[in-house]
Amino acid sequence: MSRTEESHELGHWVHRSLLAGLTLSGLLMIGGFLRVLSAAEPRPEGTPAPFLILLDQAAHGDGVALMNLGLLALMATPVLRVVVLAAGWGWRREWRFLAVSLTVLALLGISMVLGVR
Amino acid sequence: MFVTPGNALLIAAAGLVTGVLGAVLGTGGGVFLIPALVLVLGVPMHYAVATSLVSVIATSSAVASTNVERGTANMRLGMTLEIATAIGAVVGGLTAGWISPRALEGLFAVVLLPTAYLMWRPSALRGKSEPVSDLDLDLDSESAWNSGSQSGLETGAEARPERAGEPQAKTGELGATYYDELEERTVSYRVERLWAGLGISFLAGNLSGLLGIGGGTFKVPALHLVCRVPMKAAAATSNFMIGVTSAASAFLYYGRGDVRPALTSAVALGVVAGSAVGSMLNRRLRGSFVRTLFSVLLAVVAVQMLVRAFIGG
Repeated sequence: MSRTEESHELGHWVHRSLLAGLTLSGLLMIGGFLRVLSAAEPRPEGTPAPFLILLDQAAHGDGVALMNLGLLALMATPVLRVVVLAAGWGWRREWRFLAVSLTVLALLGISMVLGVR
Repeated sequence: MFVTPGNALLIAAAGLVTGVLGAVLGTGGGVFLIPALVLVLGVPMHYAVATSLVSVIATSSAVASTNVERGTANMRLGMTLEIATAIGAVVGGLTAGWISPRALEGLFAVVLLPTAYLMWRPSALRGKSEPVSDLDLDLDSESAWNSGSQSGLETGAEARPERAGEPQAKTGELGATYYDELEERTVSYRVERLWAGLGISFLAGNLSGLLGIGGGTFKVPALHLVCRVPMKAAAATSNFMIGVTSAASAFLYYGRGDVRPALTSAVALGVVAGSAVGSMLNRRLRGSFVRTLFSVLLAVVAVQMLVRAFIGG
């Protein structure tokens, strides 16, 4: 398989991962948004609840928690794309680009660790 | 700002308009969204920046998903430059929390003014360059604007795509080949001056983290003029990178509580819908009209932000 064909195949997986992230985040945001507006739920200011609490609140139908999870899913979509590329290049033994994608992933990880509790 | 059913439609409409403008003009939309939120809807600057960053991720993901399938986005080059752009974005995101909203608004205006000028006079970007190759893209033509390109920049500078059918080895490890549907030919190219591209990507990432814009306004000319990537591939690769750039600082804004869920959700949903409409529109609009509209809008917004930064309001 030529490099162009390999890139095309990897591009197909990246395409799928981006669409999956967009769809999931869109559904969560729409659901949460409608829930908040219809129930006139209070929207607390300040830092958002920790991730595990958000999951628990969302499971109980909390609109704000659903929106926050939707936003996190949207922010994580580019991260998923980097993971897919790292896996693809690792599978093809393209070590240089695997290292590049792992470096980007580490930088995104720093941002996630600092931002998401 | 408290989102109610009444103003939710207004906020989503603002997102929709900026999504259309972003798609038509080829940017992530942040340069229009932030002024709309701050100047029209009265959203505090830090919230507006955070909202814009998340919205840019949405538009970038939607556009990039198409470009990687078409093969115009250069994933190897994009990921390599993302190292610099992500470092810049994290640094920008961390420092933004310490900068006053007025200073951010002033910096935003200072960045917009030269961008508006370059849009108005794209020849200013050309500078001293090498002769145009016979296979070069005609960047002043309609096709450069109306081909689904997402750059919004019309530079007329010289990329050096190689002839169709040349061996792939000539493209180097970071170069690539793609099929240009409008031109009906295969374009291969090499990447030059990678270190300069990395430096500019760092600055673009830093401004993105500080100001909530995707940074495409800086990345596209850097890729095209410095790294010699053909315009269409430069635009697609820049868009591919913007999602990671924005995400790198968006998490930091989220952690500080600057990403307001209802506001950001309404805007993001509007922006995504607007991007879809804009993608359909941009094949029917004249490139010169779009460029002029872009520069005038940017200049007006820049002046308004400068007035707010120095006089208040």
